[in-house]
Amino acid sequence: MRYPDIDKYAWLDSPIHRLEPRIKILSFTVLIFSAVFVGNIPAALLALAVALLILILSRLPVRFVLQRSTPILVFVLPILLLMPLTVPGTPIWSAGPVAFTEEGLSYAVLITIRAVAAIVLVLTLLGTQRIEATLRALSLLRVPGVIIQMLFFTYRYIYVMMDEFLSIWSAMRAKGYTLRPNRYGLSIIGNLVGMLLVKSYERAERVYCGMEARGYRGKPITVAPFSITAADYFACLLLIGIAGGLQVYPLVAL
Amino acid sequence: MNEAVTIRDLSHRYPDGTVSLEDVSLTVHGGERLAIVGQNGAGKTTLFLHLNGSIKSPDNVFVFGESVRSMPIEERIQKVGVVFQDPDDQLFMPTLYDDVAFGPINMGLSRDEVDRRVREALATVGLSGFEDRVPHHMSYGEKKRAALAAVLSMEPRILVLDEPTANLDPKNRAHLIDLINRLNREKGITTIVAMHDVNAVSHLADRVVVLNTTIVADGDVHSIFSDSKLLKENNLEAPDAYKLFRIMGCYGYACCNALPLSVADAPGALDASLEENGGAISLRRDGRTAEELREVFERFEY
Repeated sequence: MRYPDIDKYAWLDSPIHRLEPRIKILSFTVLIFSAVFVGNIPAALLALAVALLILILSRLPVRFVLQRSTPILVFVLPILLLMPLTVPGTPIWSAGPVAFTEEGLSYAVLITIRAVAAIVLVLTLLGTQRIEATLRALSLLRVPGVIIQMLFFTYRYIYVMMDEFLSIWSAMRAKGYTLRPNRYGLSIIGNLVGMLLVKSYERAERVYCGMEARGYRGKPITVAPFSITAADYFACLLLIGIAGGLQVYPLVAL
Repeated sequence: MNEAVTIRDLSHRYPDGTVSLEDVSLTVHGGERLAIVGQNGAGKTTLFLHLNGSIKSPDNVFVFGESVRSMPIEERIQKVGVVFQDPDDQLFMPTLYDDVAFGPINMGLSRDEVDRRVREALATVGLSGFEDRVPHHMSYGEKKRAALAAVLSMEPRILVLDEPTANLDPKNRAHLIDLINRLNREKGITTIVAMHDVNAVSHLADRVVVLNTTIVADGDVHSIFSDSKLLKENNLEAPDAYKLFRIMGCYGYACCNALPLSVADAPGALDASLEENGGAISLRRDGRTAEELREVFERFEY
């Protein structure tokens, strides 16, 4: 089957792809935090422009970024509607007790732009290197081993779970099941989820046996042959400089 | 001959009280090719988990004379490597390189040695160049070989395989059988396989143990598969080639001493009987054929 790999364009060649994974994670993290904490709309637009410029440099297909960002944007868009209705201020439009305020709208636009900039940066970070490179780099950046191992296993077994889900789903379809939003349809979905949980539990026991059979005692379990070049240091300084600039810009502009 | 595995009076029951092994005693010699056959739930996998210390037993299991229970884990994994039935249970790292390197890293080997072992193990199973592949992009046959490589990188002296040929297509099945035999022949690795695939047993073993929570029979491949009573009592069956030659016997075919247990052995058996019968084999149906056929089917078919 075709898996929705987040790193399916990790094989492309671009200045962003070539960045050393640890450097990329560090500098992007600083940049993401900076984009999220900008104080006004012009600075947020600047952060979004920087994010889009990095995205263009990375040569990731726009379609891929749109597909990946849509599910996250679904959570961001309600803010655009709710904030103008809940933040007190000068009303632009009102109907009885409900008022659509100017301050609320401006706050909603600011949050949305910040969120879109952060999403673009996160997708560029994850999309330009293989997941295992990201995890290895996190391990070298002293992220606790237990978290790294959990991420490793999540990444490895999410595909096995998808296969198991699809095989149960096909078996259900083969016996005439169609998804209907009624009590029966939902109870069947409940059974499916329950079956997946039982299967995962049993598999976890077998995997642990497999790990013990190869001497696992909870220690770090991977090697990472990364090396940082002068160009990586330069790129890191540049990106962190931009992140700092985003914070300084509103002060200068005022 | 040195004793690779010695099991003395091993019994095991699961927490719910189900008896999985009862008074199992078994000795496997170094370099031997052993198959353990038995119906579902006969205790094959449980026995294997005792061999590598995944299930702890009070000093009943010895590997090269040392108790598995008191053996340090690094030593244990260098002596016994277990390949489980489902490769997805064994390939738990994101890339094949990481997976094959997992055992050697746990053994505390240097990075160069880990790298050498990974490349050698992958070359042995024919997966060189697959280092960066992720398991979910590999076929089932490749995953089976990858799981074997992940164990071979620990360079174990005893290789234990649970249903190695299950769910494999004929080509991958033949490759895997050849690979296991090559490891036994060239590296002197003792191989112990558990399997239901009776047509492949004679390719992978010289000695067969029938397990049904306890050891029911232990002998060479021919003596086990010609004992129809033993096979029926343990929900097993004889290989197809053997059954075909028994049917030919009902039509008057007189064969050599040992009937073939696989298609590959059939030409040898036919040649031997041609030689014994002056260069010709004749089949005929007489008054006893129907009775004999009924008896063969009763004894060997369900």
